[in-house]
Amino acid sequence: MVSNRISIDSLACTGCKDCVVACIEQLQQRTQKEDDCISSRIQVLGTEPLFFLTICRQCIEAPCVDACITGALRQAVIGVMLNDITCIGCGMCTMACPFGAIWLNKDREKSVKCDGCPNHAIPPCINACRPEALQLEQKARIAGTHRRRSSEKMITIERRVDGPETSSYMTHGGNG
Amino acid sequence: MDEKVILANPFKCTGCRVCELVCSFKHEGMFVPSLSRIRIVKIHEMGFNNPISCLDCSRMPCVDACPTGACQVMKVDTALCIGCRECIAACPFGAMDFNPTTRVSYKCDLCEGDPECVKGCIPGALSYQVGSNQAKTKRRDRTTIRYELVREA
Amino acid sequence: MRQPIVLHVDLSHGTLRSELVPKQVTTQFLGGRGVNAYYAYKMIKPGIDPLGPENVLIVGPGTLTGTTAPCSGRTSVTCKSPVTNLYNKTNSGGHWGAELKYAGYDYIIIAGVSSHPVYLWIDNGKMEIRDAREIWGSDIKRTNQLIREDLGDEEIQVATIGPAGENRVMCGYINFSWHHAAGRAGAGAVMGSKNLKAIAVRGTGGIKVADPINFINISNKVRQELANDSGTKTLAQWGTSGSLPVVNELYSINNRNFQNNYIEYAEKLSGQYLVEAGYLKGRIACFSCSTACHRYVVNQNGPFRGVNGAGPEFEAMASLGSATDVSDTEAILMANQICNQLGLDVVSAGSYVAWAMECYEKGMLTKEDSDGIDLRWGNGEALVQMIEKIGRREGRLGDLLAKGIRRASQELGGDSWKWAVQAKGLEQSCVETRSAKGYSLAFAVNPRGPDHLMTETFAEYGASPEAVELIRKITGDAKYATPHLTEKRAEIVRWHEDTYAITDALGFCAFSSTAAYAVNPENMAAMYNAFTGESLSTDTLMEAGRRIVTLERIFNIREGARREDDTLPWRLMNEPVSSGPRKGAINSPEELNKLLDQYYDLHGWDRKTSIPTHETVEQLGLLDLTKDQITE
Repeated sequence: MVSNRISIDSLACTGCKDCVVACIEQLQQRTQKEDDCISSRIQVLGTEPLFFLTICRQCIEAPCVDACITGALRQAVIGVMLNDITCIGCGMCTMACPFGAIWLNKDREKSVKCDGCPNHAIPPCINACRPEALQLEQKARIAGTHRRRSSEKMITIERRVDGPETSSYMTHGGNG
Repeated sequence: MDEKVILANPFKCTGCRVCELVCSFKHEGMFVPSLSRIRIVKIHEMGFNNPISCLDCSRMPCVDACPTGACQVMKVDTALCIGCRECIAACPFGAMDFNPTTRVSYKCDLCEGDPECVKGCIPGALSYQVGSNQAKTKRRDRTTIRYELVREA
Repeated sequence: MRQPIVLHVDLSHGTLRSELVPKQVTTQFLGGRGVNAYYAYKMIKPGIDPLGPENVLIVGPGTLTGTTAPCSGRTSVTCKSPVTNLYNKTNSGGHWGAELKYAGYDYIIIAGVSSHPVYLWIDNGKMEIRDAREIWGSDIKRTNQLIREDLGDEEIQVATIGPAGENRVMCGYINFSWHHAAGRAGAGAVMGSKNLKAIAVRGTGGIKVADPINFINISNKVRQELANDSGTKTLAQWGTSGSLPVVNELYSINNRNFQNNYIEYAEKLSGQYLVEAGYLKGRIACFSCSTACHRYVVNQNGPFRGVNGAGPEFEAMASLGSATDVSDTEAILMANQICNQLGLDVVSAGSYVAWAMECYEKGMLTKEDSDGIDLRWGNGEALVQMIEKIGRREGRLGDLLAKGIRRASQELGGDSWKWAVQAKGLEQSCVETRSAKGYSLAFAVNPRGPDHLMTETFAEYGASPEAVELIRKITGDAKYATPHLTEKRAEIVRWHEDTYAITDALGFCAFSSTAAYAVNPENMAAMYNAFTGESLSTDTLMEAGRRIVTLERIFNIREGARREDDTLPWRLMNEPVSSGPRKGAINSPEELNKLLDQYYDLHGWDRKTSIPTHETVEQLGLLDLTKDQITE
């Protein structure tokens, strides 16, 4: 199973916070009750014109897991998983996370972090995000996608710089 | 910073992937192209092969993205890397990748100044040259143009 | 190095199962073509219908595929051929084989017939049979794109058939990673008959070597030797078609369906012309090959514009060009591109058209048969249209030719069988055998028909000092490096056979082992030993090659082929060479019989039937495998 790691592009974020609403809604559905104490697992910080999206990066050697004293945070195949029952709300993980992507729900005294909504093919926050600042990232295929995209760009640039006629074996390649 | 750099000429590259083999052999001790520091992208529709390794960008989005300081110039500090894969998402060329076994990111380290890929490249698409300042500037400019255009996309 | 794993796919039941290849089998048959032959012999029952569910398709990259061993990226495909009804091994370059190794498998054996079109998806040890109804009917390029879209991954490698394979055209090929093909004797038709459109592979694993330092040192050394070889340099610079003018000067080219053997416009079909005229846009290499002889061509002008893809090889130039007397390079590029998109073997497709053109010239076929296409010699437009019709099996003539020229000439009747240049049912590749006796013997005894890719005795021309030296090593005297002599041909052919067998078994390219000589048996043995940790001598390796060749022979014997099937096309045995310094040369039956006697004696096969004798079989350790099945 592949973790639903969510890629973020803060530059594209418009600060509408639809993702936050979507996250809370789906958490309410999960618990099957109206709960005022639910905290969103994604945060939108900053002000116009620059916003910062903060969400768990599902690290592989996660510092939060190392910091967790009760073993509530666990490195699973699908990402870093938080056991809500064993979490004692000590806040060590929030201090360890370099992204600030895990925080405490003060009312419930438990940590809050994104679990990538393993029950959803596409997490609701991504569906809610209109400017496409949030995207689902296929684990381990990111670099491949980037390579392909940059290479395609590179062809266009070479053609733009040198003209389509000359971008060929004879002018650039020679006979090895 | 080392003045020598790996220059890739995609129009000379035939896509044989020997560079991937020798690179992965040097770094992983076996033939595993998916963990090579240099990768060949094949755009079959155009018969285009593009060798991609770390271009040593001047703006270094991977270093900017790293929260722990593990990702450095031509090097990843494995002790500091937490496997968040932000550097991989940040690199517009896809020159960095993640090793699921050792659980750290990797990028080209120039083989301590003697790159195996260049030695293995018989078609001469890869070269390891003392970048005169001019050449380096030119390459940087080109990289920057590419970088901007890729960002546009 | 781990023990190879074979993946059994049963399309009739939709089941997948993997198992280890027994150690004894890999020791005896090395890998690739050898292990394929072993499984083919075990799994294909004699007398079955090649296009039925009992036939199996075996795909296996060479043992060293996926490593730095130079030019080691080749994959062998083995099945029973629908063209010859005999053994068929065909071979392709590309990157697919290496990807399969990285995905954790070494062989795929496909049995049964699926009820609807499917494709196979192998992702790092996870396997899946997926629906291909949406993809069925697409050409090679589109299939590659659709599968990549379907699976959402750009870095997968795909082996696929085109519409020709789906339509059971007898020269349908299997395309590997866009630009490479396992072409001959209808492997694509077999895949199509199984309703299997493609095999997509993605692997991120690695290959471990028993003695890594030694291995990398040897392979680097051989790679340098190969790069410095003059033959390799020419190959890299001009491609395989670069040698076409040379072959023409030897009066050895197939012109007008082997009626003539010299053309005036040879330079227009050459690799040099592709560069001069600006068609060539790049070179394409197979996995781990530093030579890169494959071409990438573009043509956006003239009536045949829209060419953008893999360029024509020597055989494509000769078969689509000089065999049909077409001198228009752009028409050949277009015909070649259509072959590549529809999945047609260029050698056979060109032979089909050449045969049809001769029938047309001699009044056996008319415009009515060909839907109005003017099939006169040299008509480029007719060539392009006819190729398209064959691939899609359109029209009466398209359908007739798609059955292969042996069947087509039987249906057409008259004297048309005389100019059907085929033996065992397979169309001869565009190499002249009348003036090269080693070639003629090699083509006659080839298990899949007269073809240069199972055994090509290139060295007998003595074109380079290395070639002369090789002939001296085989025969003991350099004077035998002349193709017109009949002496010592059996020795030369057997050495090449053995070398080809181990070349294919280990995954090397024949260009590196028998056209250039850097990947010679000594080097192959050294690399094999470093890879597996064994210590085979060169002779043991060559013996393994002989074992493979003998098993392939026994396969054909079991199918009923005997000495009388080891023959050459009628035209080459009855019509002498028409011009040039070797005018009048012919493959007479007496001469061929003499050569065959020598050859069978050398191999230890029975002269009368060509069945390997009990002693030979025992000596090669094939007794256990074959004892129940051959009776003399």
